[in-house]
Amino acid sequence: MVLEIVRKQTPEEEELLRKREELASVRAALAERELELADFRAQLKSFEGRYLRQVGVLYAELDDWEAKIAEIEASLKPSTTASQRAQETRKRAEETHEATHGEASKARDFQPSADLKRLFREAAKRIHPDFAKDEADRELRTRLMAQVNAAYSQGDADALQRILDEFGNSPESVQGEGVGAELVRIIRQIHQAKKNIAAIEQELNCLRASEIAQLKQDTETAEQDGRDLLAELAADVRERIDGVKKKHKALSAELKTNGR
Amino acid sequence: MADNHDLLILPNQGEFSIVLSEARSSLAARGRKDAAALKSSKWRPFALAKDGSVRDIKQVRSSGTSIPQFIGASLRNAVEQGDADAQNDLGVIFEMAQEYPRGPRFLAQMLMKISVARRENVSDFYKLLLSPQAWRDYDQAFAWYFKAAQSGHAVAQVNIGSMYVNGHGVTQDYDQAVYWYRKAAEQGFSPAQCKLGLMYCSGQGVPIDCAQAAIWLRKAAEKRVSKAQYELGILYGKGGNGLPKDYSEAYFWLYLAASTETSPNTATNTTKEKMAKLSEEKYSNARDAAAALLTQSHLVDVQKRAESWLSDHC
Repeated sequence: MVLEIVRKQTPEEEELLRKREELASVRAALAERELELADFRAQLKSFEGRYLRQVGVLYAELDDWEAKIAEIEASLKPSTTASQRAQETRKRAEETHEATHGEASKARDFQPSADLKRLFREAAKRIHPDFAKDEADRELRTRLMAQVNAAYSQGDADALQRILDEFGNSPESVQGEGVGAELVRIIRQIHQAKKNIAAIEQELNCLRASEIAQLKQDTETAEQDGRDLLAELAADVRERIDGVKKKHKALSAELKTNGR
Repeated sequence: MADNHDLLILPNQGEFSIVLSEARSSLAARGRKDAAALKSSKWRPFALAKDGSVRDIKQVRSSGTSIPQFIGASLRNAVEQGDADAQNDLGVIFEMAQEYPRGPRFLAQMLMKISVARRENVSDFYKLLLSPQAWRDYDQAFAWYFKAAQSGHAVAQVNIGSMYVNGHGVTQDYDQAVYWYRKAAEQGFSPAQCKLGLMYCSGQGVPIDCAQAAIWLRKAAEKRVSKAQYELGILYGKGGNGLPKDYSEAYFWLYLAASTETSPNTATNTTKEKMAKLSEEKYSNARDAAAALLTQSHLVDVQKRAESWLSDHC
């Protein structure tokens, strides 16, 4: 291909060559950002899982006891506000339970190998839906890219390799496409890739600003000081649970004597 | 996120949006808030208690040292200068090191408790630390108690005696237990006098000798140790093994044991309260049983004597 271009040397072709190079470098940058995003998401998910297992479940327990207390209080001194409060605390307890005992709490540690990262980069560069020729191709790529992301977050290098093998090498240029048409297509693709990089940047910022990311940050900062923030937090919530349990016991006893 | 969804070409939103679900996000926010509160209220005492120790912990973590080892190191200065208090503290810490979540917060609590205890009520502190449910590093505890005990620390001597009795960190050996209890008892440490008396009662580590038992129990009983008063009363009630039966002495000490008020401040948790209540009941039951063995005039005499003892010893 290079020889052919050297032979022709028209201004359009020189421009095309430059644009192809630019597209390649933008695609590489895009793949890099995709990797960064996938990494950050997986780390957050893993940290969230740890947080939910270590601290979240304790919050769920605490809220459950508090709901029980509010319910007893409502039946000891019935009033509209008391029953409303009981309902509210119960709802909160259910929400906490729901949030804690779901899928995310099962997330495992995420430590991608260099090989896994290489495969992801490769896949992002080749399969990215951005480079689809038509709508059907786009659909296929979108589906495959989802598989790539899933395989990456599970640390499954074999699956990544398989997806890449199956996808094969998609031809760079469209059959029967003239120089001018290719130039237009590539310029559009460069533009699209840049837009995507900006979108990823935006999503990364959004993730960084999230509560869980900030808690992760706090935990890491504390770790620098030799502290285990999650363990401290868990110990603190456990103490509070003990206190609330005592109160619940006293109230239950009161309820019993009242019932007699 | 939804606004720029059309820009996001990565189709794995479903899976990862879990990270940003609202319920989870508020749970994370709650954790952050509570963690920040931890930092300001509970962490500070440690930093104040031990200058520069935060930096120490960093080094500890990176060198892979365990927390009990670290506590050891942080008190070692005092220990190396031959401070028996510090050696005993170390024993206590090792004995209970496993009971709490390992981490700097544990250290903070321990060091804080020690510093408070030094200034205030030391014996309550040790009682707290020696609670039976603690999972203990007996070997280390024994080693440090031993160091302190050798230099004459009475509390440590009793601790080491008890470790010999219980076979904790060492083979059970009543002779050794008696040896250490006696050392502390001879220094006038009343818990040790009570324990030594009981060893004479049961004949553990010494031949049974109720006269000796009465001598040691009386020393502690005179210092208002209600357990010693109770045991002494029971001993007089039974008699034998070198001690003549004496119901009026029995009633006298049981009366004192039952009238020693458990002060409300020492009973801080329900287990303690229950224990105190149980022994109060036990004491008054024994007192009433002894009263039934005395004639009315004897009874009144002894009551008078006991009351005047109480007013003398207030």
